[in-house]
Amino acid sequence: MTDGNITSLETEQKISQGLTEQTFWLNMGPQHPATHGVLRVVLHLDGERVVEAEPVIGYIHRGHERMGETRGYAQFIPNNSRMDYLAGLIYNHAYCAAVEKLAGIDVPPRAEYIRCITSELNRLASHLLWLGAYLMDLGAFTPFLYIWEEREKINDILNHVTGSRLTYAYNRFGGVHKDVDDDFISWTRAYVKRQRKRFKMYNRLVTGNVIFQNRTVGVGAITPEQALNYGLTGPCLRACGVEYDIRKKEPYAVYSEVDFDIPTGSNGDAFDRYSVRLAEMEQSLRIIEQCLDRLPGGAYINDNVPQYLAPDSGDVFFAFESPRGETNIFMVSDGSRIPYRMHWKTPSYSNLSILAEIARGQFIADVVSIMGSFDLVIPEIDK
Amino acid sequence: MKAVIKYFRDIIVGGWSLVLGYTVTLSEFFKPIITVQYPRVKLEMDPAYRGHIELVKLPGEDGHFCLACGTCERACPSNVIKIQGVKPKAGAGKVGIMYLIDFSRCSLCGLCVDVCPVDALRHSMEYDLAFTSRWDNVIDLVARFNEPQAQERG
Amino acid sequence: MSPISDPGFLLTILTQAVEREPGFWNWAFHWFSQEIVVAVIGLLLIIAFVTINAIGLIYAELKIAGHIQRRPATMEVGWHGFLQPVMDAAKLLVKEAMTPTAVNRPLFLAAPVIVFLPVLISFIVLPFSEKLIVRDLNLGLLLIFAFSALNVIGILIAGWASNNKYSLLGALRSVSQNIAYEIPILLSAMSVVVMANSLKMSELVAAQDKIWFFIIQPLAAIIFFVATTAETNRLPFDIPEAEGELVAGFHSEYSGMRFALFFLAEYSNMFIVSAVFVTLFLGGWHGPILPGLIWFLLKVYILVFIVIVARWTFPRLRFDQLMTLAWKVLIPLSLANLLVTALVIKLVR
Repeated sequence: MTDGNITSLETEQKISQGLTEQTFWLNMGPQHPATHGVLRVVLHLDGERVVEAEPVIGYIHRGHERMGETRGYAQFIPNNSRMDYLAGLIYNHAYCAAVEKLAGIDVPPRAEYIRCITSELNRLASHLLWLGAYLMDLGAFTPFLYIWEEREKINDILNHVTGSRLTYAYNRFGGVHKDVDDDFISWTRAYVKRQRKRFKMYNRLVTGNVIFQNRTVGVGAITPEQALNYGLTGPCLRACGVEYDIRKKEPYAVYSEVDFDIPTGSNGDAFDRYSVRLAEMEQSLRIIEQCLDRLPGGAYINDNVPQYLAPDSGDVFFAFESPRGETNIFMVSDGSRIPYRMHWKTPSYSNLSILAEIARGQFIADVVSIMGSFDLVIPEIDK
Repeated sequence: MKAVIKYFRDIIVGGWSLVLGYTVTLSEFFKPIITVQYPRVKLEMDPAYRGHIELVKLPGEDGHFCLACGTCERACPSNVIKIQGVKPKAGAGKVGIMYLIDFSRCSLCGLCVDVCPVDALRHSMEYDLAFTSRWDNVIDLVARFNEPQAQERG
Repeated sequence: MSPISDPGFLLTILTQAVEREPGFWNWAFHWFSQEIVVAVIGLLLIIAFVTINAIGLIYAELKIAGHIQRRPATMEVGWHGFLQPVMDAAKLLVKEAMTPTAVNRPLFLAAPVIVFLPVLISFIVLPFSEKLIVRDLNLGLLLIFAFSALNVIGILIAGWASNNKYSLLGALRSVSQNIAYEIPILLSAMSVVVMANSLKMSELVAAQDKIWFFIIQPLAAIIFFVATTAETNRLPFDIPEAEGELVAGFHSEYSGMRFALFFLAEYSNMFIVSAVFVTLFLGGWHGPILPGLIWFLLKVYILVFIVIVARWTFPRLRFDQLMTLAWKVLIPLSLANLLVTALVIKLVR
């Protein structure tokens, strides 16, 4: 039932040549239920078919890079969580790690483990939110509230250690802001157990559902070559069958010490992206369990970090794996208290750029499905 | 023949997956409610919660510890802090008499708490703050400290 | 002076006629009491029922959705939020009904009425119980199908007159969907009609005295159920108003009471198709102990419950998959079912 091709060959040819007489333009966004934020996609439509889809970005540009160049190193910490509001802790962790690399600050092992656990919890929260939001794009409202139950558990755990629920400023140069306690460890273990059970429910409700399969299998298929050409990273790239994960390729923190797999897909379609993310959540649970088992004692922060950091002149490049893909930080220091140059390369930007190519000739409903499966976070594109 | 079998198999498998979906939602239908009616029922806040900052009040101590040194003022990324201090008498150290924060611009990062040399600051448990005017967002922590109902905590 | 332009002349003729025919008043009184009074009372009852039913269904939808999602849903107005839909209706009534400047004004205003009126007419032939039926027409079933097909014209007009691309796309989707799904509905209903040998609602129910048609015709029943769910634009078939794609589809530009009329029509249609399903397949008012009306409503609301749960369980189908389902699955199966039914009946009789 998936082969529902209702346009004639003639129309197909016209679409490929872009020579239709009766076409029109449709502005999808900046305010639209399916764009999750202020993304605008200009659709050139032939009936329900997309002739050309052009994403227009920049509606939520806040100039975070420039802000980083006008204030001290530590003062940029609260901005991290605002760049990608679903992965605040991961960005926070990476920024602190990059500055530590630039200034040569040692991090106690306990802090590294705590950072890993909280980052993976954050990754789970991000993927869970994506799962709910994607299904809502496809028209199923209820899974969104089921995942919310789990995400609430993660938020409670993170609230207990970081003190906030979405925009955490938890990492500091040389460690973390506050130590974890026994409550945190036991809650996290309970959560891991519970989440494993819930995956079965998701599978029953969503994965096997014939309508969901029709909406995702074969929709927005990307070949590995295309993906590499466009610079896709993260689950979108892994769904095409390319085994690429910064946590494995260039391990930072303690990712080299824990044992986990890189789940990959084969077709690169929306369904593969869905299953890769689900498998990734299970791997995150594994990482969390191992980190909890090995959590060493000792200090949680290096107390010798000066209040106003002024690294020696030089530059640093740091790559890390955010829930949406590889993110890079490039910073140049001229020896002063303020970074000379700061640049962030965020993954959703390159992930979105392929939309124009794979949306060609698809239905409007498919464009929604494809955009949803990319897990776009618009503030992260615009920064 | 194969196509015919596939046709009917698709229908039956697809129909069965829908029935499975029904069983999930129907079983959830009879489970108890997990949400609370927020403004009527309030959950207990986690003691680690970071609200806006306040001056530390310790039992047995009359005053706050703020020296009006201005370290927090300089550490703040958004310039939300404004402090004024006076010397009570010649030769004595400064004491903060006014500590203003503009909560509407505060990002609750906690850098001010980190840098305070005398640990005079901490995060409050205030949440759910909404004001009718943007000037109501400007809170004087010293005045708040002197209020009789200032909480003692931690 | 012509007799037509003089009202006094007409009056004279009328008075003379009354004087000459003393039976006229008798006849007029009879006609009035039997036809007009019955019609007016019936209409008022139907409007009252439609409104109360819609309010009840909205409340049920809120609560069922809430409990499926493990939340209490509306709790504020009245006992357990029971008055919430009433307040919503009151809010919609007093809200400004906006008319965008670029719309085709007459059509824009007419569309909600065109969508809503067929709903009222369909209620005329619904057999609530043995006695409680406004008009037991010979072609009752046909009347319902004919008037529920009018619904789509209203939706098309709404989409076209709104002068909005999202509305237009939604309306066009709705038209093709309705055309596709009318056929399996009629074909599957036909297999029951062939067995009952009548289109009269009461006779259809009476034919299920001993055994429900649901047991003899399970395939037709399932096809009818799926197709009517699609006909009422409920999820998973709600592509004309697909929220994630077309914002609100054909009623994007409507507000206030005009929007409420679309809403009222949707919920009443849900009731009507469930009632037709009960009449055709679940034995109508038949049932032990309880009176017929209770049985009928009980069966209808159980079906409505299933439809509501479906909305909160499944994702939305894509437009072309919806068509594929109709043309490649439902229509062939219902055709085959009708053929087999006809053959068996021919052989048995």
